[in-house]
Amino acid sequence: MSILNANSPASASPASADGAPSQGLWVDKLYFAYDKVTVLEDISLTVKEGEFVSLLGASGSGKTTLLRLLAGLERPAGGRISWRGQAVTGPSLQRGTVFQEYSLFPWFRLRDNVALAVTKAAPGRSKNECRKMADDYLAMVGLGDAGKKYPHELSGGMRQRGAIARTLALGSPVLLMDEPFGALDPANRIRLQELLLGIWMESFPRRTVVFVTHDIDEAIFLGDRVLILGSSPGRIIGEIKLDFSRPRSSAGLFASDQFRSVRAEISGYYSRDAYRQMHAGLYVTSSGEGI
Amino acid sequence: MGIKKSERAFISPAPKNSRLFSVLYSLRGLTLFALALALWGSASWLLPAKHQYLFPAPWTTALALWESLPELLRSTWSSFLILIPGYFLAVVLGAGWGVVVGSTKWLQALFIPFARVAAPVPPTVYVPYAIALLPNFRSSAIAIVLVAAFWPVFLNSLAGTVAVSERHRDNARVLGFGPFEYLRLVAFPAALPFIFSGMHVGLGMSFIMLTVSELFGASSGLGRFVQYYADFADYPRMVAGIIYTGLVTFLSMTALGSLERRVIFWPH
Repeated sequence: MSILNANSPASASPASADGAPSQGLWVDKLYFAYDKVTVLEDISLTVKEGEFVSLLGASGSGKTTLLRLLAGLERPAGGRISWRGQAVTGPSLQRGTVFQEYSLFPWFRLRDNVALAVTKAAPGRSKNECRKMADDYLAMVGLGDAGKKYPHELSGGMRQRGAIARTLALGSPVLLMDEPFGALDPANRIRLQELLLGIWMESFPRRTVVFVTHDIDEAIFLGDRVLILGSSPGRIIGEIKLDFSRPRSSAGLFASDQFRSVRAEISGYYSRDAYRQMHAGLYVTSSGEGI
Repeated sequence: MGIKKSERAFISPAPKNSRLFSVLYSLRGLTLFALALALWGSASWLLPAKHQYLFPAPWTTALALWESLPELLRSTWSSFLILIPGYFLAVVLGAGWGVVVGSTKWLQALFIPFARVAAPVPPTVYVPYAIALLPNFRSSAIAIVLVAAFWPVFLNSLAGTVAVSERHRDNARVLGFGPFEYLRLVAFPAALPFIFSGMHVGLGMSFIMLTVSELFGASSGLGRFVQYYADFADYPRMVAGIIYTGLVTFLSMTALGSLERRVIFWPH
């Protein structure tokens, strides 16, 4: 695709998306700064429709910021984002978002939390219909009997299942996930990863997923592709295509040589980035500077 | 097993007399009440006769309380006909307006400077004007209670809405909530803990302003009861009225507290 705006990032208007492809998620020369510190620098990427992309990065790489920009929760300082040729200028039901924690409103029952999304996705339904559909979505994530409970009565894993159900209920073709399993114990984490993959594989057409994580294994297990973000400032330092067959099993995958070589490749990207930061004087020195 | 005697004493079962001790211990909150009662009793007993009428003995007061109970109940009814509408309106307007202003930037710029000046005015100064301005005593007293309780409820509701956590706002945005849905489904429930603390302060203010305004033009009511018998130097009844009013206030506060625990059931 043609890059139309190659000069200073500030001159690029995020509202216009000419040159944007009519399909998929498109990010072009994206910049973001917070308090005059550059958080994201020159991010360009495309996600095909129905693709599952893992966005892998250490803390401070701006991966959450990038996801919030994709969701429309933040406005970029420069560059453009588009979905199906339409400029992203704010949140939209086209892009459902799951946060790391606290996606549900604590004062509503689980069912009503999901029913809110149902109402939004298909207005004009009766309250009972919405609740019934909410129960169906909850059943998809294995929470068919928990609809009457309040979020504080659920475990962390159940709350994340509920958050996924709510996002499914929005009917969004794009799923943006910000370390949704980051606060879970390993056993629960694997269970939810498999649940997510199952739902994604079964749906037609498949949703476009951008999944932010700092867990290398998770990124490899889930994605069709891993994008690796380097730190200070955040930018894409590597991209690896993952053509492990689906459906995947975590046990089988983690034992394979291919998995280990991908893992080693990612570690290589990370250590080169750390080395670069050290040379750029960005790394923490012995005197504690740079923290 | 190798535990020293001093340590064993520390972990051994409590001694036999612990039941009496634990009963006494659980009643420790009543100590000051008992002490005050003893002091009051002895004051009324020991003071020189010419001062004694100012300190009616506890039993005299209890009798006066019993005898004036029907009148006190009528006074309570009359007072509540002022307190309940005034307080209720203050809560509805204060909480509602606080949530609206708290989630609207331009209304904050418009209204907060005014609130800064108007809120700290002691509501007692409105009493004479309200009585002059409004057609009868009841309506002016309701207005005074309303103004007094409005500000704490409003200010807390405003603060609670401004403090709605980022994650709730993000969730509202990704769900595509409009301003009205945000107010109703997110800002209002999120601000409820703040609104209730404003309601507690507001209820205290309401009782103060109720009794103060009743000193002026009322023909019945709790504050009026106390004032009336003070005018006749009937101190047993006056003290009975004070104790009874304290009890009513305490019970109202307790009721509000239990309502709060019922309404806000989630951890916050």
